[in-house]
This record gives sequence, C-alpha cells and structure tokens, in this order.
Amino acid sequence: MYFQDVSSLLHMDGHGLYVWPTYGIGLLIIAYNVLAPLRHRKQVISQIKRQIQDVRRRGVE
Amino acid sequence: MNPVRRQRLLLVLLLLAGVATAIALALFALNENINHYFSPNQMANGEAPIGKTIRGGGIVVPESVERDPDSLTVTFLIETGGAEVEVEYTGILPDLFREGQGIVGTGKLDNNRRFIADELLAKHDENYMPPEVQKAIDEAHATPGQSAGSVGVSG
Amino acid sequence: MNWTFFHKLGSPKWFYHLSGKWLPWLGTLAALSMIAGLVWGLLFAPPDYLQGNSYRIIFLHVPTAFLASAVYLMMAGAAVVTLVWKVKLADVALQCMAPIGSSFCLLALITGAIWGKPTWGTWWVWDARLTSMLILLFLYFGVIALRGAIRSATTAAKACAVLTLVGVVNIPIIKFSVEWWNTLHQGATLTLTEKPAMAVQMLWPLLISILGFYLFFGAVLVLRMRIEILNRERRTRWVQKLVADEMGV
Repeated sequence: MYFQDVSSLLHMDGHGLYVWPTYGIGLLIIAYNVLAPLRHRKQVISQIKRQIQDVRRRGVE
Repeated sequence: MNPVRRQRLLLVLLLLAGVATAIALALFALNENINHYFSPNQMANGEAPIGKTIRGGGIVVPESVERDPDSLTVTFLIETGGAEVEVEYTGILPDLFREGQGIVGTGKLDNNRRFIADELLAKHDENYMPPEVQKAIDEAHATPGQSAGSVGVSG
Repeated sequence: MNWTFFHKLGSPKWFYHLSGKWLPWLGTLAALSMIAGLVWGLLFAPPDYLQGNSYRIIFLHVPTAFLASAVYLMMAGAAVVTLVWKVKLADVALQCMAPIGSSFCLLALITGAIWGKPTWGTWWVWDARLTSMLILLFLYFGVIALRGAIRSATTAAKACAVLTLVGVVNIPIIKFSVEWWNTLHQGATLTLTEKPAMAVQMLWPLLISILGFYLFFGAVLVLRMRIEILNRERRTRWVQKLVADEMGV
C-alpha cells in the first residue's frame, strides 16, 4: 500500500476530507443501482402473484 | 428496407440534422458572449477591453511572483509563449498555484493593462505522474533557474 | 440476410431466458474489476506530482463521466431502433438505461465538484465542459419524467425516443468542449489517437475501473430490463408460468 498506516490513509495529506466522502457518495450510488431494481423486482413479482391468486380464487367460486 | 421503415428512418435523420443545425447556429451566435476569455497576448495588444470584467489566464512566469508583506496581495506575470501580462490578486491563492502552472482569473484590465483579478483559479493540464517521474523529467531538462513544478508546458 | 436472428433478439422472452444465464457472470466480473480498480487506485497507486492525493478521485470521476455520455449514446441508438423498427425491447432498453445513466452523470458531477475545490479552488464554474454535463443530467431527468407523464405506453415510447434524439447533439459538444472553447476543465488524458498522458502506475487502475464500470452498467441494465420485461409481459403465459412456478403450484 502507498500509505504507511491507517491514519495517513484517512488523512491523505489533508486531501482525505475530499477523497473519502467522494468514495462514500460513489458507494451510495453504486448501491442504489443494485438495490433499486431488486426492490422493484419484489414489487412486480408480488403484484403478479396476487393477480394469479385472484384469478384462481375467482375460478374456484 | 421496408418503405415505411425507410421513411421513418429519414424522418429521424432529418430531426437529428435539424436539431444539430439549430444548436450549431445558436452556439455560433452566442460565441461572442461565451468566449470572453483573453490570453496574455490579447490583453497586451489591446484586443481585451479595459475596465470590463473579463476572464483570462496563462502560465505563471517562474520567479515573477511577489507578495506584499503587509497584505494578501500578490503580483505575478503570466504568459502563453508571447507577451507577459502582470496580474494583481488579493486573497488566498489556490492550492495548486505554482510557477510554471496555469491560472484562470476573472477581473478587469486597468489603464496600464495590468489584470486586476477578483477571482483566481488554478488550471492544471491533463498530465498525471508520480513525483519521482516528474523529478526525473525536471533533472533531464535541468537548466539554471528552472523551477520545480514545471512540466513540458503545453498550456 | 438472415433476419431471424434479429427477430429473436427482439423477443422479450428469449432475452429474459438468455440474460438469466449470463447475469451472474456479468455481475461477478463487474464486481471484481470495480473493486480491483478502485482499491488499487485508492490505496496502492502513487500520488500525483501536482495534485497529491486528491487526484485519486479520478478513479470514480472518469469512469462515471465516460459512462454518462456512453449510456446516452446507447439510448440514442435504442431510440432510433424504437422509432424506425418499433422493436419493443429497444424501448425497454431505453427506459432502463436512463436511471442508470443519470446516476452516473450525477456522480460524475459531484465527484468533479469535490475534486475541483482543492485543485482549481472552486466547486463549480460555468465552463463549457461542466455546463454541457449539467445539461446532460437535465436531459436524463427529462426522459425519465416524460415516461411517467404519458399514459399511453406506445406514445411514451415514441416521445422518450424523440427527446433522447433531440438531446444527443449534446454528446459531441461535451466531448469537444475542452477543445472548442477555453475551459477550466483540462483536455483529455486518454485519447484514441495519442499516448495516454498518465503514468502506468496510475493508468492501469484507471483502465480497470473504467472496465469495471462498463461491466457494472451492463449487469444492472440487464437486471432492470428483466424486471421491466416481467412487468410489461405480465399477462403472457410464459410470465404467468414463471411466477406461478416461483409460488410453488
């Protein structure tokens, strides 16, 4: 690693204040791109499941 | 290709061409206003207006930086391979302000064609290298009076 | 010419099943290269002679900036296919690319602004590069908003495709802004025609990060498209069967 220890890694000669929050925001956006579709998938699947259940119930009556 | 599709394709291309032309014309017309940026040469030869807020910049001439001991005022010369213009700025210099590196300032030219900057920003080029590589380049080009921090000035 | 291949390519069901096989691989490769590139750049690459450690933002900024424009170009391609050939899958692609591209554009702007403060001395400047990137963000938001605003799916598809194409003129402006105008933003470090203006110890993690982000885009695009296909085709037999199987008939 370029940095000697964790403290200098965090400080980055004063630039850590800019670099680390940037990477934090980056991580959030990456996470959004993975989690948002997964959440949507759950919604869509459960909607379709309910539709199927409705149809079946009506079919039985 | 199916004639209906061919027609749609033509319409799409026409749309693109139309928008591109409109934007090109708009940018051309606005260019006067957008590009109020002047090089040191232009400031020295009278192309840049005096007393009007303009933008300009150049490379900081090595060993031209003078700081007023009693205030934050600093003066230095800028150039881009031609005339040198004196810049006066009062305030905290950007971190990356270095001799041999570029600056961009917003301010006014006074009657002596000195650029009094209200805002000063550092401009860097597209080169990235570790300090030891830059040192090696400096040593290879070493001539008396050349300052550290200057790399093949490409502007 | 054998058009059957293209017709198959346009089939949502075929796309769904094929993409299902490839997605795990795509996702894994994306994760590996993103992590490799970013960790390498953040922790192992040397600092810059001029900018010090602040330049490490580049490993996020450049990939996302590249992708912001590249994704919009792909959207424009999908828009042409939608308008001329009316392939449904192209509209699905266009719809799904927009949120991803816009998030990358936003990240590029944010990382750029934070990087600008310690280097240029300002968070923002209205130069041609930054302004055209901001316009790109607005275009992305516009396409997303337009989709939601129009009831009819076919009209929405056409409208979004047209808006996308109107805005694609911005892409060459973004690319050449640093050459056509005097910008604070510097010129290109990586070009197709010249040697990179970057030392190898920094170039490698950057290239790997760029690759990682492209793969990541591919993976999350496929992920979104699969869900949108299920959404749009929910009344078809194959989707009903797929979901019913999940329910354990």
